[in-house]
Amino acid sequence: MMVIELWRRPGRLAGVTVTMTALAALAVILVSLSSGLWAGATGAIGRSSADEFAFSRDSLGSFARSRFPLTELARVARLPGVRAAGALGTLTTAMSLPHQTVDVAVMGSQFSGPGAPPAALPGRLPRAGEDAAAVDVALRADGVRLGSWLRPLAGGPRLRVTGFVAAGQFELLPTVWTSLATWQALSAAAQPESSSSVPVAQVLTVSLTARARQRQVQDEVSAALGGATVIGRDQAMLAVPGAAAMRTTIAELIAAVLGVAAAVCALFSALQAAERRAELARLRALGASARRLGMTLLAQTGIPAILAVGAAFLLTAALLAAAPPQFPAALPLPDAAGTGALILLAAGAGAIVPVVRAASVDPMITMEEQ
Amino acid sequence: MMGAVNLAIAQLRRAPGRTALLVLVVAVLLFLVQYLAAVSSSLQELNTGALRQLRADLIIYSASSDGSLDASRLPASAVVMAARVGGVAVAQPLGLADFTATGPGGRYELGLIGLGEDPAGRGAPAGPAAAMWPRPASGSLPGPAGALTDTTEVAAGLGTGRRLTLRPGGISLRVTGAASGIRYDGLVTAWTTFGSWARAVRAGNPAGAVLPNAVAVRADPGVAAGVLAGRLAAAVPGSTVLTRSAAIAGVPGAGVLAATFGLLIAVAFIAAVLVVSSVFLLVTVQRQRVWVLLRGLGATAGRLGLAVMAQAVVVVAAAFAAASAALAAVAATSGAAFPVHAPGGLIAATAAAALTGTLLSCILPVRRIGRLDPAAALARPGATALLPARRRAGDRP
Repeated sequence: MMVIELWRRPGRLAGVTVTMTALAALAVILVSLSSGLWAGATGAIGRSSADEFAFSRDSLGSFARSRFPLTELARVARLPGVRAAGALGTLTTAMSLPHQTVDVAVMGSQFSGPGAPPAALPGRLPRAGEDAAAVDVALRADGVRLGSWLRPLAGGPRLRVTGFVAAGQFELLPTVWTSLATWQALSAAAQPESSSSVPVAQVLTVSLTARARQRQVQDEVSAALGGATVIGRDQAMLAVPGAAAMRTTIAELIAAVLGVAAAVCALFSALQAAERRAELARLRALGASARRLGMTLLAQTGIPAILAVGAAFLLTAALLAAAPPQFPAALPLPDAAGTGALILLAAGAGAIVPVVRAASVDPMITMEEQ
Repeated sequence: MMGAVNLAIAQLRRAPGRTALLVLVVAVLLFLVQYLAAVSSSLQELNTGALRQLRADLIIYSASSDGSLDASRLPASAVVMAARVGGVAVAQPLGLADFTATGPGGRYELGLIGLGEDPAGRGAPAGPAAAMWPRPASGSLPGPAGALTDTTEVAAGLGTGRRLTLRPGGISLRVTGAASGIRYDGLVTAWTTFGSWARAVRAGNPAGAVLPNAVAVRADPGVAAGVLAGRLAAAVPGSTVLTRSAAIAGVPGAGVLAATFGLLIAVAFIAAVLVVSSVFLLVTVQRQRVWVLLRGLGATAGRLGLAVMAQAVVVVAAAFAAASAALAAVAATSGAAFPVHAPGGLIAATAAAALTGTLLSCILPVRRIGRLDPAAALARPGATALLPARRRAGDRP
């Protein structure tokens, strides 16, 4: 009965479906942007093997303004609850690649400590004293191969590519992993005001022992580093510039769109229920159960919503395929499934009141009114 | 016309719940459109405001910077080289660095911009040296150890006379005035002389070398910017010379940001138009019997069409008013860290787009009314009367 009812008015089905598709597409695009921006801004930190990140006292948790002499590392490594300590430095700069010039995030790391990228596949991680880099697999699209040379435009050592890593992006840029010494040389060339005569890093990284109490270790590391800010990986991701504000804003927009989708479904359901009030009364008088009528009306909202979600995913996938590679959007399967479920839930929630009202039609009174 | 409006209002009042829900839905969608446009505009202003307010014709970057002020470093001699080029009225060093600032309102990240050599004595820049600075909305331009802040930060405690202490380094600056829209890279931003900026950067890391990020240039009157750009590029080795508008467009992320928000605004607007169109089409179909009767009683199709359009306009106008009020509330409560502006131009543009979209959304319902044949419908009351004329013509035995 529900399919026949929809089929009797194909224009209306199309109208409702197209309207819902626009709303669902807006929600799916927002979710794609949220996923893409978040992964692009914080991917390298999110996939890090470090449990804790220490930022210098006056940096307010900013990678760019944090700085420690590497001599501090030994002190941190000796603290109870610390399994291993490492160091990290970041620099966004332009590099000349085989095919073109691109902006990259140079990540200086102690490859043996926490915070280092996973093992390079294919290839290997750079060795100590070697001006080399293991680079984000995404740079293959720019013509980078094993043995390619990366030339920093601002000066500093050229880097030979020894491997590829799936380490994620940082500040929306592909990552180039190199040693701390090479990072320091590149930083001094690109930002002469940051140059230092002693080995330094921006952030110290810590991995915890199995029985360590996180809060206690954070306090001890902070005290050992003269009041440093010590935060876990999740908070370090939020410390990436703009990441937290971006995520909150997009989440609010997604919530607003889901609210609108629920209200639109409520509106359409109410209109359909009002239009078919007499017909529903006759069906009730002829013996149709309230439950069956309710399910029919619910399906009239649900089927266009399901079609709309499918169309919205196809539309968004087409947009993402047509977008330039640097466009910060991605649609992982769990996020896609979750969004689809939320849209359908919103549609169902919106339809509940009109459906209950329609199902509780009194046939006698309604037919008398008609 | 008034009759159509009265009819429209009467029809809307007959179903107050449905009208309220429709107004709410359209208001939220219009708020989304306005909010996205306001956020996009605010983000652009926060990211590029400093370059917009810098009264320079050309900006010289290092060639390796790819047009990014953050990435560019030039030798100090570049300022002298640029100043000697024919057609240059003023050439001043421009510096940019981030600090943690301690001042009224606590500790926060601060972008410090340095412009122009220190004036003689402790006074503010004057004469040609002041020509490149943003115009203060209150107070005066900063001299050595002074700072010009953004007007949005005055409410957060950075008014004239307040002090900022920069970390690392511990250099202190006194706020001398405020100018509108001078922030950069989304940060709370203060402008000072290049000399003060250099002292602050050097204090943060005495081992480092302090170089200007760029050189800001004003051309002599009558000198074409394109011609001067060519001369400057030849005179300053390893440089790229951009007009101010090109420099603004080249700020990292500005293009992607504009495209992303443009897409979201377009989809939200299309959704709003589709909702209004679909709902009024459904309402028109439901009330077809009423429209037929009114046509039979002498109302013209044009008048009924006007009534439908008036209904849509009334709903969208009410929704627009609610959405604009909500946006104004959001703008009023937004903090100094991310001030959301709701400029009159943006409200006017969305109002014009909403009106156009509303009229477009009425095309299908009005067409439906135009096809009604009252004589045939009244002759055959019942279900057939609810069908449009074209369909009934096909029912002939």
